[in-house]
Amino acid sequence: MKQYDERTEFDQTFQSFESIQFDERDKKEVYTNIMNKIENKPSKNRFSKWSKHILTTAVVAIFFIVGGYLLTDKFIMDQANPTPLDENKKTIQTYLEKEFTGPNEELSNILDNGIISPEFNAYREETYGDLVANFKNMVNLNHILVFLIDAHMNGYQLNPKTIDIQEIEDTQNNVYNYKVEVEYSKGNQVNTATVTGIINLDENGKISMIRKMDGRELLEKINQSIHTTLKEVETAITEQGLELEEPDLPSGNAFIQELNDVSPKAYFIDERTLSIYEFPTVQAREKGMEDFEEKTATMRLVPHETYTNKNILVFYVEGNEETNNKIKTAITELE
Amino acid sequence: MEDEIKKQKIQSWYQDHSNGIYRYIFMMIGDHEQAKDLTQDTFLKAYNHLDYFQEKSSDKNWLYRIARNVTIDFMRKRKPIRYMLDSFSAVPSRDLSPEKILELGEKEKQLYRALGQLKRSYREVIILRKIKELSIRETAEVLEWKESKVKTTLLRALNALRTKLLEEGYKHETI
Repeated sequence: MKQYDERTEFDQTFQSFESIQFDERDKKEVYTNIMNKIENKPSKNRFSKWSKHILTTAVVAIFFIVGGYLLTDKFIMDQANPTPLDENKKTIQTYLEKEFTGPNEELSNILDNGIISPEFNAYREETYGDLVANFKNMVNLNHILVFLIDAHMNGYQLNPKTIDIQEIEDTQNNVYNYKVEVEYSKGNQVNTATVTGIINLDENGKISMIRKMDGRELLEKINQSIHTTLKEVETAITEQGLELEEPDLPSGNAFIQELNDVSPKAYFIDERTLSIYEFPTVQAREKGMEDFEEKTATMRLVPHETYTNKNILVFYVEGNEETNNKIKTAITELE
Repeated sequence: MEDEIKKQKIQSWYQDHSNGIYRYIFMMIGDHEQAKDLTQDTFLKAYNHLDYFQEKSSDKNWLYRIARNVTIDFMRKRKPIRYMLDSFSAVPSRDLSPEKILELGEKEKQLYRALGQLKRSYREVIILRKIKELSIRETAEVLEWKESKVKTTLLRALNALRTKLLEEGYKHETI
């Protein structure tokens, strides 16, 4: 649905604002001002004379320690890394290679045991921890192992055929465009899809943000093999002895609204609403479900059952137990 | 509380939260120099009122609450009449986008401009939830609203934002 797409796009644009930086120079200036003001504030404490001296000493000490550290850091780092630009590109290259190579045997074995496991968490952190500024954030934003999980689920191997990284000039931050031509192969079949995006690095050369990532083509291609059609769902339900009748529904029904750009096919079973959404991919279905939750967050919904399988999402409203079970069987057996 | 301990606390908070606080204020008022000053005021206020900080909320939420109050005070003082209008209806808050926004790109510029035209409660709930990525609970604490109010206001705010953007011919692009 258009509305949902726009909101998703907003979310990415919203994230871009995270790159607005409080420059180090300004940060230090404000810090010094705060400390000066704190220092000059007459203290109500009877030990104020003492604390004033202690505070002054502390500020001077911090100034030298921080200043000394920054200077040392700058000189040592400058000597060790004569071209930070190359280092940044290298970091991005490593991240992209990891994201688009495999899955290897180790990862496949871990994924076979599900993605909610300490082994999976450890693998992710070990593989990506050094490359990114905030690992937890990256995981939450779905920037880690997105493609390899889907490749594994569908029996594909990925390989980055070409990686192109270009610095975006005229920005204060380290911002790079990237474009990866990814080979996805299964048996003898080899195809390619392109993934693009923008990566920001922080002042330490760690990946701080990935935005405008477009990997739709690759995800759709590797997920195509697990697509179920509306027709197949209809057949499975009628095979359970249920009759799909033409519905008579008010337009405001929450269970027949567009979700993530997909309108459902609606029916009545025993005069109760059944809606079937056929999404293009599993990911689209997951987004569709999120869309539903967000749109109905403030509504009081009537009792309903939700069934999902692969790219299919089904709602059945206020059904009896027997019908609910039959629909559940029909959807579960859509393998 | 001992002055030295208070100072250490402020130093540590400054280290952890000054970037976020600055960005929040900057997004609210769109002026780098003022945002710097208000960031400074936020931490000074926190230092002066540290004895009253009861750790009922997290230190981060407390700081954002102070930042919010400091920012609202500033907006009131800056343009009292516009502030009142701003609280009740949507009026353009800034005609020119600040340099830091222009650097980000066209979409960001359009979004920022539309955001500036929303009423203040919409703007702050969007900034806290969507840009600062505070949880619903954290946002509720900062704004001193109920969680349900955060949810409904956010939905309305996003709808209003969408309408504004469409009015201005925001270029639609699917992901």
